[in-house]
Amino acid sequence: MDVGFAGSREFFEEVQKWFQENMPSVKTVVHIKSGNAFVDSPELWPELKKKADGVVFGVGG
Amino acid sequence: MEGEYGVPTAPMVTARFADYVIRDGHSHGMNLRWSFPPYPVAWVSREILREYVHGDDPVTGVKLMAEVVDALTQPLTEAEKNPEIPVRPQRPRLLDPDLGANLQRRFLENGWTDGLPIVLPTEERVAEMLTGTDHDPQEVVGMMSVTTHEEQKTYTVEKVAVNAVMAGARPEHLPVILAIASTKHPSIPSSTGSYGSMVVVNGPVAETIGMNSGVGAMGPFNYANSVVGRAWTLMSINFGDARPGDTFMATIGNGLSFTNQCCAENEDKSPWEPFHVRQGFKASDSTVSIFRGWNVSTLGMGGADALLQKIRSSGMMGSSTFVVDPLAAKSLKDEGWNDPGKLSEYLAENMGSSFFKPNPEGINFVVVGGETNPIWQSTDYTYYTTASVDKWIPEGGIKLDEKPLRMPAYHPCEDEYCILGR
Repeated sequence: MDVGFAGSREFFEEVQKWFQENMPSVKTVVHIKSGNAFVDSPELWPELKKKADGVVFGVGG
Repeated sequence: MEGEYGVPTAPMVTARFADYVIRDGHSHGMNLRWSFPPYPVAWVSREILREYVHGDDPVTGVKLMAEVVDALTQPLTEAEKNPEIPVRPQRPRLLDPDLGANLQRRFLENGWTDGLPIVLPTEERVAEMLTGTDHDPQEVVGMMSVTTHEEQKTYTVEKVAVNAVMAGARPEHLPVILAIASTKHPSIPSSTGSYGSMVVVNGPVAETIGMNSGVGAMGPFNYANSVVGRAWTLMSINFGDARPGDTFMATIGNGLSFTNQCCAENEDKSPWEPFHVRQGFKASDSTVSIFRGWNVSTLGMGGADALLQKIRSSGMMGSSTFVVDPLAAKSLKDEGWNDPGKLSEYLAENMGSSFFKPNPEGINFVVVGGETNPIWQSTDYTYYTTASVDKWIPEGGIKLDEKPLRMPAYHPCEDEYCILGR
């Protein structure tokens, strides 16, 4: 889950590659949070509950 | 995600903010399983990002991705299930008596000021300031933190009055300052990108307390604009616990933060409804409206197409607030934009941002300026809220001094030509 800070998308694409190389049985999706990093995205949380077994969330800073 | 939805979550923030987020989480009873990639993540090569991902967390020394996998898969510990919430100590209400110079030093060295000399908030001065409202001094006005997520400190009418005295304000300014405090928005929330804020006053109070909405309204030329704006910064520092490098992370800082572009809207010269009326208030209501963002460009000219070009080229962060001189507003109205809301819709529909979904409510207009030229200022400011000033005004009206302090006033021209001698 890319919260939208500069560089987050590229960083998470590398995280995704790590999973593909090291834990290929884990399916990963890089998802960009709607709106901007400072507002809630209430539609997002139930969607993640429905579709995800785990979330890597970031990258702040 | 974990508490409410039961989804294992591995949060990540760059190592620069490790201490910040750990403390922030603890203050909310959350021992989160953070992983800290090196920083910066922004604007570095893919090779470097790959090294980050394959390397160690610089804070813990553990392989970064091993931490992420553990965060997602290991059961919670007892400490994680039962976190202790630390409480930050309160400052004493009164300091020991001392020489004025020593107290100025103490305030400065404790980080309780904006770096400029203050008016020391003696008991007598605070008591006088409190005559500016009928509200009980111990009434809670709000709570804020510059981190927006760390423990928020509550503040009372008296504490607001203390900061108002420090800023150099008089009782006549207190209702406006209380209204700002009631929004719970710090003027300097923490972001590495150096936020700027703006507060715009509408309604009769602006004229009563001698605010400027014309020439130089956002400049250093008006007492009320300056002290009200400054009080907001001092409240943000003292209530919001702003400590550079610790809770406040703006890497460069923002020169607008001293007085936060505090001004009144030029309702008399505006061709549009006042901003607060467009938010649902009556014209006779007095209000403050809060805006915040990162970028300000002070010289723009042209009609709707020029506004559109500016939004497209500026890479706005999802919002835009235009500060428009009355002449520019009249020109926009002459183009057919009788309603700024329609102009917002036009800009949102055509701005074509692929990063943030444009939203008409995110594009706003306030009319400020002295009609020396049809100029507008563009910002990426988000409009947050409008709050009542009236609720803080004493029943007998604004508490004016016998001889209110006023700086030299700008006198608008009587006709369009401003011929000398008229």
